[in-house]
Amino acid sequence: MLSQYMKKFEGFEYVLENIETYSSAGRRYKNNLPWSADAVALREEWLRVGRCVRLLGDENAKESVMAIGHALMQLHDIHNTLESLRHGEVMSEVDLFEIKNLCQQVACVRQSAVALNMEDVLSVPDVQDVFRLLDPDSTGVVSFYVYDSYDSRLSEIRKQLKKLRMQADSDSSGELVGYVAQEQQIQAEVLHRLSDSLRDDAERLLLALSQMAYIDVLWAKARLACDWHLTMPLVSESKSALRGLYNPSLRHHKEQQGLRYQPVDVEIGPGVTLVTGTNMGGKTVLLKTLAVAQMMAQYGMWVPAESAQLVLVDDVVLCVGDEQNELRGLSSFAAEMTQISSLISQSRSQRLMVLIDEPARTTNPKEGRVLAEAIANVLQQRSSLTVITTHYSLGSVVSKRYRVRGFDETIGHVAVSVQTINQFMDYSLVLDTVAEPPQEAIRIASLLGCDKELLEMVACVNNNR
Amino acid sequence: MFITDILQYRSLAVVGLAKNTGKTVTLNYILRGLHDRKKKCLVTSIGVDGEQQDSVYATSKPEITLYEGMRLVTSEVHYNHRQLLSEIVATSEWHTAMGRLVTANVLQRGQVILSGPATTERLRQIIAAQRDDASISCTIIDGALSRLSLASPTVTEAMVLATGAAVSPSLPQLISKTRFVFNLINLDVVDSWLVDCLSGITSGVWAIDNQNQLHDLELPSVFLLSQMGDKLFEYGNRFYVPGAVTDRLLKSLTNSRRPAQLIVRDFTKLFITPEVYAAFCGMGGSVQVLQRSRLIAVTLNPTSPQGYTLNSEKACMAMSEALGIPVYDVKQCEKQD
Repeated sequence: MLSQYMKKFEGFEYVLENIETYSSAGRRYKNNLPWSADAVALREEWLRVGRCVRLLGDENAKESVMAIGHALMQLHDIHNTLESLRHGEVMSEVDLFEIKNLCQQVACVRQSAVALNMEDVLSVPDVQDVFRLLDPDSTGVVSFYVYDSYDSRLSEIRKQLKKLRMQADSDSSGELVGYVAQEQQIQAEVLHRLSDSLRDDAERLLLALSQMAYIDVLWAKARLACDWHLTMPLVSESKSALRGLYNPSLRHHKEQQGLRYQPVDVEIGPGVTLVTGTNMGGKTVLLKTLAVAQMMAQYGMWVPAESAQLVLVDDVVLCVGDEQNELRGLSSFAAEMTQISSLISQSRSQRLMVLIDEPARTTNPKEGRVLAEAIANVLQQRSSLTVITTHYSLGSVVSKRYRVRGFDETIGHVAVSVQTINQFMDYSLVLDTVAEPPQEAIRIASLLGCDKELLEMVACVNNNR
Repeated sequence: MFITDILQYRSLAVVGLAKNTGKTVTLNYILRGLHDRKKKCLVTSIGVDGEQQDSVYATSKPEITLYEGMRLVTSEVHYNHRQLLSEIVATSEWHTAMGRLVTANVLQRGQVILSGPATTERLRQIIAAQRDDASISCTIIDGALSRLSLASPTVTEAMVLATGAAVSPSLPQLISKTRFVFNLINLDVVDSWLVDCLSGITSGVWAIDNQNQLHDLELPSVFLLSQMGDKLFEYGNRFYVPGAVTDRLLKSLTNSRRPAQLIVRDFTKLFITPEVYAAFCGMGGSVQVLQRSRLIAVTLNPTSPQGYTLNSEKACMAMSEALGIPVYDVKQCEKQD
């Protein structure tokens, strides 16, 4: 089960915001999306998304796809009404109208599913019998009142009422009141009767509603896959390999500003993958992006990459020094250690995706290095997939070392400055064999145009070493 | 009498100048008139009429009579207590304090309490939705007391104003109070190019110079108008205030001792008293609007709740003379019909 706090992390919230459902029932389903680590179930869900994706691009399917969208827009979230029906409450006319409307929209989706040859994917229970009960005159229209045909006495009483109301003089008002009372009495009886006979259907109606909500989200996932050019992941037991991986929110943000976004290729297996590299090299972004991709996949979505094979995990733990803990009054070091300690114990029983950004960076470098190395050593023993970014040169034996290629003066077309330095970054990852992280901090500081006195002093200190 | 006039408009608000001015009687008169002419309309209200305290608890007697073929929009609570036969055709998904909004077609005449959406925005949506339905010739809105804002031309095209002895038992006073509101409703509309120019501006205080250029006076609040002194007239004496205009604003313009030309969106933005308005006009000032409601008729209820009764015929005549439009006592009209 995914930790609750991960859903709130901004990169994934952006994804959820862009799953645009048509109905409030769909919205409710989206906010409680089921997390899965079951390879079979996930593969099925990704395939269902895929079938919807194909239909979205199919001109012949357009009409039926639109009919489903229209039905979902008409759908009201009457979960509470159906729950009270199930618990024996008497439905009002308004409630019965809502139930009738649900039946109508279900019928519409079922019909479109047949037309699209998608009955297996868009499966909703048949509730036509309920519709027929609420449409005794077989008008086929979604409207409702206590029809005359529900009770033999109604038509005569209403005939009398009509006559009296046309006259509308004070002499007949006593008679009128009498008939009104009778009509209301019978209407109440009818509502009682209808509620009784619908009680056993409540479960099926609830299921229909939740299936409609699921279908709403399924199409929304498919639309997202088309709009964002997502890819269907494959499940792997040995390693996660992502080519052309990108971070949706960051990419869209950059592209809106007319800037280039560079996707990366990355492979991670069980044990520890170390990522070193220059500042501003996108190491933290890489961790967040891995988290987003993994979460999207395990929530049954396609992933933001050109191709992706993924090891499924029980939980994703992202440790990037967020402000949440600081608000709780913990120092950044204490918050970090608490989180790492708990993930290490969690990793004893579960396979996790662990993403740690520069562990122990806020303490003194000597002890910090020791701590970071120890963390890497412990996690290397686990089946969890761990990615650790660091500036320390760690001596740990790890599964893999990556280095961000980093600063390259030949890429950009403008002068290097604080504003433009990102354009000179090559974010791609290269395999590294040495433990020593790249020494680029001083060079970048000077490229950023730091104060002369400071830079001269840096050179001086460096020489004295 | 004025029913045929109503049919020229797609939407109408029925508004009372005070409690017990016969708004409900007027509305019922209109609805019967429309029914007699076989016209279908949609009827709703803005919120609940405050006049019926009990209506919130649905214990009061429904007073609005609707006829076969009409459509109504009211809250769930009041729908369940209706005394007419009707068929639900739509519900809102959102809930108000009184449940969902229910739209229903009347199958057999009877009475209902109307409690439509509480905001003009939702009301506008309802009116807009009916526009596509050719079977509905007009949307009629029962205006809650002291909610003249719904008579805004941005909501309904036309209005009927109910006045009566409840406003004042003295005929001259009643006429003077009614005429004041009548004059505001009928304020002149500015040139159409200015309407186009100003409609999009929804806040601030603006000056319009002789070259018809707009200048934002950049006042953080209209209350600071009085502190501007002569700087206020830097660009001339024409001003546009899209927000609410109060006595205080008018007073500061009057105190500047220059004739100011004030432009407001519509009369519902004016929260001013007759005395202050008179002083403003006396200084040579004038008020114009971007949009005007068409006032179709004024109805007069000669009876005050205290039991005092004006002479209906005399009162209507005098009011009609003062306003220059027909004034009806609908109870008398009903007898004649």
